[in-house]
Amino acid sequence: MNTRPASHVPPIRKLPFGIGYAAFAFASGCCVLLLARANALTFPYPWNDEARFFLPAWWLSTNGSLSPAVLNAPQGIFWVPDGFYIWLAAILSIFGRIVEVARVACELTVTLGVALFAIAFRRITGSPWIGAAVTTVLLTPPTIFAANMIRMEAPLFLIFAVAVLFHIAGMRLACASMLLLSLLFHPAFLIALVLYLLAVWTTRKTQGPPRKHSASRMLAWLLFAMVVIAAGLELFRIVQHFPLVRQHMALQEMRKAGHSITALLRKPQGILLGIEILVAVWIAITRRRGSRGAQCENLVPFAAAALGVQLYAVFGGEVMYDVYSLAMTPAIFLCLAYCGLLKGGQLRTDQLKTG
Amino acid sequence: MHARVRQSWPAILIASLALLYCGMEWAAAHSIGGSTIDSATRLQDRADFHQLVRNLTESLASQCAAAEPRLVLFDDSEVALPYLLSDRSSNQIGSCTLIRATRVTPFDAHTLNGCAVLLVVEIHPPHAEQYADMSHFREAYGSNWTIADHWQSSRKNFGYLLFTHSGCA
Repeated sequence: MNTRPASHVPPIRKLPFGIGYAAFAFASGCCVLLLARANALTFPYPWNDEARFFLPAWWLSTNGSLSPAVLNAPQGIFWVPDGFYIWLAAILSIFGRIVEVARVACELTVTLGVALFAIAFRRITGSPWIGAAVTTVLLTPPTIFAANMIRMEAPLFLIFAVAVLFHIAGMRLACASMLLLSLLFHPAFLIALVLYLLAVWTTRKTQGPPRKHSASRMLAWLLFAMVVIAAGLELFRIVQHFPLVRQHMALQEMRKAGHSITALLRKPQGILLGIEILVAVWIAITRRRGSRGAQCENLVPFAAAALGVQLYAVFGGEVMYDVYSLAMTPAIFLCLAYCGLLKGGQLRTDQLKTG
Repeated sequence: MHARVRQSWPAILIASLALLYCGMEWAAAHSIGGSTIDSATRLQDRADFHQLVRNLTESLASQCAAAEPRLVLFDDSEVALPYLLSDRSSNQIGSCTLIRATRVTPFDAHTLNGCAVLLVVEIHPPHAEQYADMSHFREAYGSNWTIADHWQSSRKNFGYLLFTHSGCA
């Protein structure tokens, strides 16, 4: 017998955020885009890194080769993996081989990254107000600087935003795949991937079960397979040119090793790293006592990944990493600190609105 | 009421910290790597840079009009080559091939000492003053070079010097 009342209407599944917040996320991205456009070519000034990273992509789109003779590298250039060149070459081939196309592509990528981070912060904190407040940390000069650079920071920023969203949706394989993808843009992100996997393994008993939804699982495995194939191809290329890779990487390492560690740790980025380590330790200790909510537990692996990025950004000691060290990672850690302050999930700020 | 305040203090604390941090960032990080956001001179800087690209393109076009092939070498500190090659399908201007060094692919002595070589040195912020006395250039490339062409913006912040070997007639 059907006991269901005739007037029953199936409950509408609530969106993870309202239209108002979606508009805020979009506006945040647009704000970065407008500021970046207004300061194009002056913040930063045209600099040599543009040439170093634009020209291999330009060469690939015009000659179909990853060995840019225009950079005096007829055998190839191996100071970073080829992910950025391939990504940018595809864009240049579609929209025109102009440096301004590359800049706009980077600006739009950061714009999208900011909007996705805003959505992620809302979902992590459970509050549109806290989500919006934390998003303001991204609406700062380092993000605008990154948007205007023709460098891999723009796609990496977006990859990280997508990875956060995958992680908080319980799609840990997809998140790990995104972090693996980031290695094709910058090898230093290996620290983030390793710390993420370690944190997932450490907190595996308290994390919720992986997503069972078959479409999500299929998407995650598809993504994983594609990234593994791409990583395999890159690895094959590295092995093929190993003596040159070693020579180019040695020059890079020598330059990075020239930085004084104490001087780097005294900078604001270094101080933030110290604070973030303290927050991570505090969360880890209180987590063992079982006083923190599941929401907070869920963020621990991603905080570990963010800490990995911060470690590289601080010890890399270059201004292009400020988007990670002064904007992205502090924002993620503010979310973590907020979750850490909640006791056992007693407080949900969503509920405060209704008293 | 007290319970609500007690419960909402983490939200107030984190939101305040986030907004305070945002304000501090705008105050402290508005200048990065020698460039400043919303700089008062940004329109003029942009115009000067576009002028540099235009003038350098014209200069190279005139130097490379002759039939014999030449190499135009750009130092690793140069910034204009991506703009010179924008919308081109090769790294050629006239009879010249444009090549840029990087810190992992520097020019060898054989390339630098060739007679069919033009060397481009740029002046641009934040290191515009570095070429004022040419000591930096001589330290890197020696003194056997003569200036074939040069240009500098009225505010001396952008410019270029085009060198040829003095020993080559």
